[in-house]
Amino acid sequence: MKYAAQFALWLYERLLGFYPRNFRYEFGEEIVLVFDEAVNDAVNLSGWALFRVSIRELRDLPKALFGAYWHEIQDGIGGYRMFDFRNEEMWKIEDHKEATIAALPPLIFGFGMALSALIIREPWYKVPEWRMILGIGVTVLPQRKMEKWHPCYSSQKEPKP
Amino acid sequence: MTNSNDLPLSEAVFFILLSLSPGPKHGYAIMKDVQQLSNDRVRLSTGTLYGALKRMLNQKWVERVKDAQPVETGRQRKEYILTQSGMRILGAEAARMRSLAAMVHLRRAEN
Repeated sequence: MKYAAQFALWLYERLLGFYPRNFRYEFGEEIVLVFDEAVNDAVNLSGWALFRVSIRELRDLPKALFGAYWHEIQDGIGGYRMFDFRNEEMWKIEDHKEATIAALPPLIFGFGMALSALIIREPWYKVPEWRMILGIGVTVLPQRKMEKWHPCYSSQKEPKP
Repeated sequence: MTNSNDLPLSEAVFFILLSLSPGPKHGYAIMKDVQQLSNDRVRLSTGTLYGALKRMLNQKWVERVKDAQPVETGRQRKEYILTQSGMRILGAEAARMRSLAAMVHLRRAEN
């Protein structure tokens, strides 16, 4: 159970990399702390509770991401902040090749989600375990090296203000 | 003053404001309180909670304060507190719900 909790936390920290930079900078540490507390409480209850907490986070992720990016765009239109990686020295995108690499993780994640939906298809309680594992695997495994592709996807390297 | 465009509140925002109305709470306490207030019907994920909190911070309905007691890991938690503006919007939403309920009662009494 301990390893499952550690894996959930590890995966969660990777997935946080999809949030906009400003959001991660503002809430990143706090949000991981809250998830850590939720996972610890769930582990004390049962494996099923841990599964439910993890599934709830995965289920709400697309909506939460959309909301976060939409809010970011609205802020940009408001004129006081723009979502722009290029202004930070650390995240500076030097050329087209780097820009393409930096754009890959969300595309691959989206592709993985679509592929996963094709593999799983039926409700989770009807799906054989191997299909469930394969479906989740194609979504999450390509993200393992994500933060090495470009530092803008790392939740651990945020600069101090 | 409350802006009429802000109403109706989403269920998540309503429950978060309601949860903060007695006093400041940190993120995980809000999640648990919302679950309890809604009789287990609304279970917020961290993404939904912090997305809503960010919007509420921008609209100045809530403020962030530092928790006096750090957690076991030694990291400082942040608490959220309802502002006067937040209180007003929660009151306005409650009044809106009351008026809707009154309309239902009135229509039922007519039949």
